[in-house]
Amino acid sequence: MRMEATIPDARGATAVELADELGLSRSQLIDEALALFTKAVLEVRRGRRIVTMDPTGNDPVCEIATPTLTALEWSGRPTRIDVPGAEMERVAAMVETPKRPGAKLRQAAKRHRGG
Amino acid sequence: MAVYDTTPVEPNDTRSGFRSGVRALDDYFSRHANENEASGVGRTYALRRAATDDPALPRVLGFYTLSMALIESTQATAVLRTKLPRYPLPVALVGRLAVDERARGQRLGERLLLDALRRIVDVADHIGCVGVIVDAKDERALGFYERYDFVAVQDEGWPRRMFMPLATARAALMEPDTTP
Repeated sequence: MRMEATIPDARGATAVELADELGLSRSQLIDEALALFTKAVLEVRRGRRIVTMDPTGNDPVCEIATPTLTALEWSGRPTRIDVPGAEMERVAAMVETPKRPGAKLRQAAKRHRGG
Repeated sequence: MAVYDTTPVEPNDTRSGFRSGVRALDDYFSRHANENEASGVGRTYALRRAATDDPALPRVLGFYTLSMALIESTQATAVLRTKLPRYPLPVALVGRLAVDERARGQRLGERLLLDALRRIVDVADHIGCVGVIVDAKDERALGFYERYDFVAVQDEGWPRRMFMPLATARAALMEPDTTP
């Protein structure tokens, strides 16, 4: 089957470079990437973690996480919070009519853009 | 892929002598963070000292824990009056957030909170999540979270449960940076 995808330019350029370097067609590269992703999703659904490991054991194990894998993991084990009716009503009201972020939160978000 | 300031906790982190001054948080970090991480009960993300930071600072500057939760009420009458569905509301839970006392005054609490919100907003693109819950352990924590738009949903008792709708967090993080 044929698939089309829109991806960021930088990731596309890296994929093309990798395909050339490894002597793979773009289809082969995407096929292997999808196989790896599918395997990762299946493993995380079983409650496992995806890590890279230095075979000499000198470096610490490094976990591989993406928003999707993290989301799957989180959704598998939710904590239940039973709240009084009034509290539930307050939460529901805030969700229905969310406030715009205040100045302090907006400034903080600008100060800490990540990375 | 999103880039965060924190990474998942590692065994060496919890033996690094982290001390926030709040015994319950310090005990959690040194005794239970790795165990909970391994069992998947809750994720702990640590902010470590960077190469450019003062080497006198501790190796772990702060941490927070994240998990998913479902808010539900056995007193359903309140929910019936809202437009929301009559089943539990999925939320992200920032169960603990602490900064080492030797690293205070550098807005690290704010940095950790924003890092947590960024992770939650990213994850909410993939799963249902209507907001963020934090548990303020004392008056100081209550004031801290209030500054960043969390609203207490409990009138009394500690820890005081506080909430922020996901839309508020997303709006703050997605706002374009117009700083010259």
